[in-house]
Amino acid sequence: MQVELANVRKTYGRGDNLKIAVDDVSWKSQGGEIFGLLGPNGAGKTTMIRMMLDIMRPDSGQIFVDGDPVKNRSIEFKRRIGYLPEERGLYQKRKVIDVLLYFAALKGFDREKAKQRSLEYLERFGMADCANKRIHDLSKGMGQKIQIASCVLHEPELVVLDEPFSGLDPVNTRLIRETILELKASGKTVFLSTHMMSEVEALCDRIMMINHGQQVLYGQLDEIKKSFTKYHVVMDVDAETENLDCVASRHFTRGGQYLQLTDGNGVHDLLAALSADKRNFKRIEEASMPIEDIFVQLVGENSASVDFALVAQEGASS
Amino acid sequence: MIWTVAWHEFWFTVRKKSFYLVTLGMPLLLLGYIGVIMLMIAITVPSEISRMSRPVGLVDAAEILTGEKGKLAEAKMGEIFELKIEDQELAEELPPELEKLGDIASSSGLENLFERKILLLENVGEGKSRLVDETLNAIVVIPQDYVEKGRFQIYSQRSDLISSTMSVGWLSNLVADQLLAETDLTQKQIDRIRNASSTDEYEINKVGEFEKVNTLSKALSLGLPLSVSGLLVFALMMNASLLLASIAEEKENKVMEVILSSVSADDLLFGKVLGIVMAGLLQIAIWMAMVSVMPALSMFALGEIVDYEINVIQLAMSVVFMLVGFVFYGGFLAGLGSLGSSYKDCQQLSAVVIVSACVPLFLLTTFLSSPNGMAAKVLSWVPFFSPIGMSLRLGATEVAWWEVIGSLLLLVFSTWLALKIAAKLFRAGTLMRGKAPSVLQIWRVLMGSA
Repeated sequence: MQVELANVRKTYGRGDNLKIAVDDVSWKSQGGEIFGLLGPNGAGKTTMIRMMLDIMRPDSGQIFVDGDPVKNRSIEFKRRIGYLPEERGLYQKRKVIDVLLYFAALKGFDREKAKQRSLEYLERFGMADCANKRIHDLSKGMGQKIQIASCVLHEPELVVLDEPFSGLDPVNTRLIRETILELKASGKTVFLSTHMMSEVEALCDRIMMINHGQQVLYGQLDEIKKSFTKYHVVMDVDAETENLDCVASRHFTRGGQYLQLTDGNGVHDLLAALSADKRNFKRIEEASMPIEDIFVQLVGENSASVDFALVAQEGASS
Repeated sequence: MIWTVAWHEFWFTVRKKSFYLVTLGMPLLLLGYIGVIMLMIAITVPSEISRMSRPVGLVDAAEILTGEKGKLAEAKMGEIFELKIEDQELAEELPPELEKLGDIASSSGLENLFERKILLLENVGEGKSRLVDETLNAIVVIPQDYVEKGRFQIYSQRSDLISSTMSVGWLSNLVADQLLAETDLTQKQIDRIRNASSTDEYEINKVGEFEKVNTLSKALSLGLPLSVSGLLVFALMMNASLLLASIAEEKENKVMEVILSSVSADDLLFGKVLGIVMAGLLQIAIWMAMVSVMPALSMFALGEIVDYEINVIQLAMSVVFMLVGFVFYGGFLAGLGSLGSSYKDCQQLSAVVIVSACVPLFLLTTFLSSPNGMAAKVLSWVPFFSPIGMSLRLGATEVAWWEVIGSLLLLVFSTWLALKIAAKLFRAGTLMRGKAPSVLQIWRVLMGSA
């Protein structure tokens, strides 16, 4: 399912109390990918998600689903999505299986099939004995998994997960990560809003970053990471890279040495030069900037503390 | 989707402990109260009958009853005399529709209550010891100057009550009968003087002719819509809290956002209201079924005693007004409820709706005395008051069909509008957090600018 936001704007209040939550945002997600929605707290991510899911409407701009500007208002669209909001909510006094079946029923999903898939997910999440337990008897992490199960058991084509990893231990984090990757493998589109940059690195194909309601970054994750550094290759600190013709400059950090290659030369040329002189090295890879550093650079208050050796704002625009 | 939400609301409402405690507990509580009252009657009535059946000491200083032609002429001093009281008053006062009650009373042995045992005494001192050992109920003195002053004297044991429990109405009647019997009046004339006049009323009916008024039938005609109105208010009060609890639960548990990603705010709101209405109707049906023995018996008895036909159309219209009204108020309750940040807030906001529904009941006398008056007419058209207002008018008088249909259509339209407005408030209110919104914020939500 393709989703596109075109010049979308949303404000709250008026006069002196006017707050621009989302300001002229435009991006597009191709189907069958994991799309990361990044930004600091209060940047406008939740507002953007709510508008995308027609929980609220934009002041101006359009939201296209598969090219249709009003499709997200249809019941068919609502049935094809799964949503895990940032503020978790489940009926505390009700049984796990009842909650799962009700949420599936709201999606028009067959009851018997929903029951079967609910039990499958409970089994998978190690909660097979919890079907008849009340929600308030579960731990926070267990409730989190129930909520994730509720938003995927009806086989949605579009899944929106707002901070799905918060409150989970490493074992469950991996479980949810695998679930997300399975969704992608089965052709679903997944929107992932998270502050865990390691998960963004591991999962996202494309990202969009918003800050103070304004879009500050959008594109393929790999390309963004590459575009944020002027260096081409990163090698281990002890790699013997001195006096190589294909190396224009070197910069050393605790993470390794970053090499800028001379025009017309690539990684293969560097490898050829290293092997010709029988120089030692332990690691060589294409240089890219960690997404966490990009995030901090773009939205962080203490951007001065970022390793500026890696930063090249002009690189982002080039 | 509406039905999915409605069924969910219904199913989880009727499975709540509070629901079946109230549903099953209310009639049981009622039956319990009736049982306690019956028990108290069973305990106190025999002793009361025993006390009443004790002889009454009578000192007839005026010699009205003990004179030659008096009813106690044959009674002897110091001996108990049994006197049968003819209480014509009771039979005369019964409405024509209830004359059969007289027959029932006479065949049930109730007549025995109208017997008095009288012990003639020379003076009060003679019977004092009998008062002390409680073989006499009381001593009544007819003083010599009774005809001039019309006052009896009663002597009895000390009582905690303000006045004596000794009733002297029967004695007053006996004395009056005796005094009248000594005149030249015929028995019929005496009866006419002794008993108040009754009336036969006639009204012009639908075909323009005079028809005898069946007062009991008219009372029942009003009673049915009044009962329907009462049920509406009762069901509203009972189920408003359930509806608000449901909204508050979803708001407090933060489930609303997930649900709104699956259904529209309109569908969610309408489903919720429908579910609670269904639960409320089930509750009423259970109550009706549980106490059906009493209505069935009373209908049977009324059918035997009263010439009364239920006006099916009038009853049906009252029920329709009740059902639409229920949804109307439910929509407003849900809309206002969603603006509160907690169950407590929701309840305070809902009180406005419930009080509005009850306004026609506060003005009951206006509706009964002048059902086609301006006030009653206006109130039966205003949607906030018409569910109960029109039901009362339908019971009290003949209402023009165009008025009934017009008021109903206005109510249906207002219900649709109320649900739309409520859905708008609902959509905005459910995503609001923290303190309750101000009036200005609510206005902005309604105007679509927030």
